[in-house]
Amino acid sequence: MADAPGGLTPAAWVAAAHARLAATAVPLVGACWGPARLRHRSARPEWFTPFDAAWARPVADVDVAGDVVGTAAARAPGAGPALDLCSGAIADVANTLGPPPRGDAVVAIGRAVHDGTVSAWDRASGRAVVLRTGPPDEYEQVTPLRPLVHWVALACGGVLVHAAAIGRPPRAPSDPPTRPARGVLVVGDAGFGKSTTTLAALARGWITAGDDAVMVLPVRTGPDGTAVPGTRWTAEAVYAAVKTKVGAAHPPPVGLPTRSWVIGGRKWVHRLTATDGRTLVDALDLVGVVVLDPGAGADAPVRRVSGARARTATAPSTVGALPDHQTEVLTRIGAVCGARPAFVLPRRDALDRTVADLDDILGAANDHMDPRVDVVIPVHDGAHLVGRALDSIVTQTAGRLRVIVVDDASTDDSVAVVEDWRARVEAAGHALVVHVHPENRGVAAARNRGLEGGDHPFVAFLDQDDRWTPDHVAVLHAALTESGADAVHGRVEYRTIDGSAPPAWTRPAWFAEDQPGHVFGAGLFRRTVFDRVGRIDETKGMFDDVDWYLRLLDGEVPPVVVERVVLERGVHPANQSRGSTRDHAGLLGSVRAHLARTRAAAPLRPDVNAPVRPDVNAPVRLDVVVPVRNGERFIGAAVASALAQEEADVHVVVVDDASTDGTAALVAGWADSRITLVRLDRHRGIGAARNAGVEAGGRPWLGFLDADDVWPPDRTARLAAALTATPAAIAVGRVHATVDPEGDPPDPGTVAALPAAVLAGGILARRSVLDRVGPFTEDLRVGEFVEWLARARLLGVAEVDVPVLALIRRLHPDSTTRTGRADYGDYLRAVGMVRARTRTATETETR
Amino acid sequence: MSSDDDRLDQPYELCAPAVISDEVDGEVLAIDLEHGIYYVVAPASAGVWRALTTAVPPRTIVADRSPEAVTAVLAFLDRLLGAGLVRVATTAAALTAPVEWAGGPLELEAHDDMADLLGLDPIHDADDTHGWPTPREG
Repeated sequence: MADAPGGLTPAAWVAAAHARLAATAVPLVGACWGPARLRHRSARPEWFTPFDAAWARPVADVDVAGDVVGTAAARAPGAGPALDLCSGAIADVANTLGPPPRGDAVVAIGRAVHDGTVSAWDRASGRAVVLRTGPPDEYEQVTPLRPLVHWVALACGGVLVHAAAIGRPPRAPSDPPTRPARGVLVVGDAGFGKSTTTLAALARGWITAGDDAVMVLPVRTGPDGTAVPGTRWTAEAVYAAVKTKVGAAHPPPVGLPTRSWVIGGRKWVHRLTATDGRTLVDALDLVGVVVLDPGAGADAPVRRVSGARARTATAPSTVGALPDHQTEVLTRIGAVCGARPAFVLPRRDALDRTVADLDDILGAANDHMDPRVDVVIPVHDGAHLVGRALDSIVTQTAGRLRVIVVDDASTDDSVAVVEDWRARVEAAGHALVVHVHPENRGVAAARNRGLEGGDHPFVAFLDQDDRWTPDHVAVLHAALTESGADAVHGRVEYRTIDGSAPPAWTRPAWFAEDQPGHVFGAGLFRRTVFDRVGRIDETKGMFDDVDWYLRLLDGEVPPVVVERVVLERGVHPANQSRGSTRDHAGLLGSVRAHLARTRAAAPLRPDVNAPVRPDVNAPVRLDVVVPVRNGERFIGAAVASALAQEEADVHVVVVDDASTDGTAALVAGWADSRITLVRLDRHRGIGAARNAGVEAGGRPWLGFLDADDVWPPDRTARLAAALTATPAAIAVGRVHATVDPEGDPPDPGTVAALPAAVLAGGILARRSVLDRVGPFTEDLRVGEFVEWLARARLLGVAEVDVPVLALIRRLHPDSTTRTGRADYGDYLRAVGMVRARTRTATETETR
Repeated sequence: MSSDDDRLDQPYELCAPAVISDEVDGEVLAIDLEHGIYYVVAPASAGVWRALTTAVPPRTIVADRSPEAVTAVLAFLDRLLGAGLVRVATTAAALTAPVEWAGGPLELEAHDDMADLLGLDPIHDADDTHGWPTPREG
């Protein structure tokens, strides 16, 4: 971290500036942003007081210690960052402290000079400083402190998005109390109608969590602070204003609790003044993304589109409004758009139609969020247990469930206990069906009976002694949907059912950490998987699930694994036996059948003692184009990872774009016949470098690897296998970004939830695609791949999305996408070129 | 390390109940329930497996065979011991029939491809007296 001229670190500068301002500052109104709390004091209250009215969630009373008190306290979560902001004039501190030092652009401390404002936040101490040269203009008065809000969003694993968030209020009191109000993120460039749509929806009884800038946060984050797969996303209200153009066809809203005025002669500001939760709400549970499209034609249908399309619509105007951390912003926008269904809504000729379409979209998104699941619970003498299991059903955060209890000839009052739960199950929006086996037929027969008793597209199981985690359905359904697989399972945590110490017969590892969940209760299944794999074998005794999973794993479509605990398994404390001889015979039969299937699939095994592997295809003959400029620190790892591709015959073409460091000499020194070095005579840019590399090779497959990224060793073989199985010409894998210089991969189980790697380094393509689409545009510093891929799509080149980790991006301060605001102009230009072509294509079609 | 002579006289047995095994069409399948690894012994080697897991001393197996055969059986025994499939038995069993072994290589295939699945869930160690719905015997 660089020191300031005065020798101050950024944190010390913040502390010094903060102390100087605090000496004369007076308290202003604070706010809550998501889980964060803002305390605001100002040395220039005459400038900053207008901010008081801007907040959607104002916090009026702040005690000396900075804790929130008064009525707002109940609405203020305590877990997030606490910001102690002192605002003032640059002149208040600059004369003695100098300008803020340039430091590492990491979330731990934010610092930005943006729109004439200096903003800084030292996350460790919580101190924040905002300095201006003069009073804020009318725009900033209604959406102030954006850099701080942006940094808080990043620190919470989320992102500040240029969007509106609108939803329908809960239909209290019948709606399940565990479900927050749901809504959609409405995205599109300025002028596309986000605010108009928001006001129209509000006028018809909808609710909003903000317009223009919305903090979108994951409900659950992992140890690295980013969203965990399958998490819910919420839109958190930050600002209370909705802005619309003056002179637009619609008047200021009538009948809404707003105060409206005009700023700059161009924009209406409608400040939502109600705090009753019926107009402006603290947060909405996001179930979908709506892409507004003013050019589609008033009668064009609403269309479901890819997450990539939603990301493309969201990214430029979001990134353009934020001062830094663009890479993280893009990644997180991708995560949100990939996690929720996206729809294109054309501009209608009447707002009634727009809102009616939104209603349909919200309904469809709710269906997507609430998959219809048959939940089979076999019960035998479980009166003392089954209530715990059912309790974990009614607290699910997603899903419309049909609970199918199959009582296997219980001798206790299990059925009566289940019936006692009926009201609670139904109050949670679910259905309950009870079947009774008069004769005891075993758990497998009970599960099959439950399967036959339902017809929902998804099936899950729960045993009477176990409990689901509250997000069991949400997490597993998201993984199924995102991967396209037909079975998924998570991990299992073991507990004794009475909380006693683990009994002696158990293994310590079961209780020391969670375990893989190859048990029915830890899975979610498409109903069709039982047609493929077959029913549960009723002759396998207690190994019925092992037998079924062996058959599933031997099939063509492997299950997806989610590295999250989704099931709490109840272990009985009594000393118990290890199963019967008959059960062991069944297990040996299951494994023998598995062995026979494996041998049929792979008749030749070179090493009989090696674990069985699937048959291998012929090596993939591949050119890997590695463009590099001044990358001597990183290119070694990149090229090594290309040469280490398994089941591939790799030719690496390094294209040195007139580096001024030792890159060319370094690469030239690698005496390896698999590496070709192409040196450009002058700095010609990324597109030219890619083109030169393509020309220098001639193999049937092409990959692109940027010099600071690395490939996992199996990515080429797995992408090629996927391409071979489909008529597509481009395989798109998944990308994992890391700030770790070693580029460590993520947990394998989380790969399916990673964003699609719609990046040059994340694809594998047939060379013929390049012939068809043409070369990369050479005058774009960034965005050249987006532009190229858009051309490919317009030409009808098919892509296949492969849930395989294909690219590890090593983020560092020199990554191309992070350097220099000037590059964003090129990124926007690339998007503009795409749009122009899309319009031309659309017009051609409609002529 | 005991001498080869000691090992040749030592009887061994299957590590039950952590290891289960059976034989179909001469091929042996054994599952290590603790670790989820399963093993295959080809029919040509199954006679030696049978003897080594049923307390027949190795010396009985190699009686009247070549020094190479002794080496092969001891190496196979080492693999079984190393994999935790057999353990020292307290009493030797009498051999009731000749060991079926043509003298070819002794092979043990180890498979860990299903280790997650077969490294068994404790619920499988439960019986039906605590509410777990297994069929009643008989």
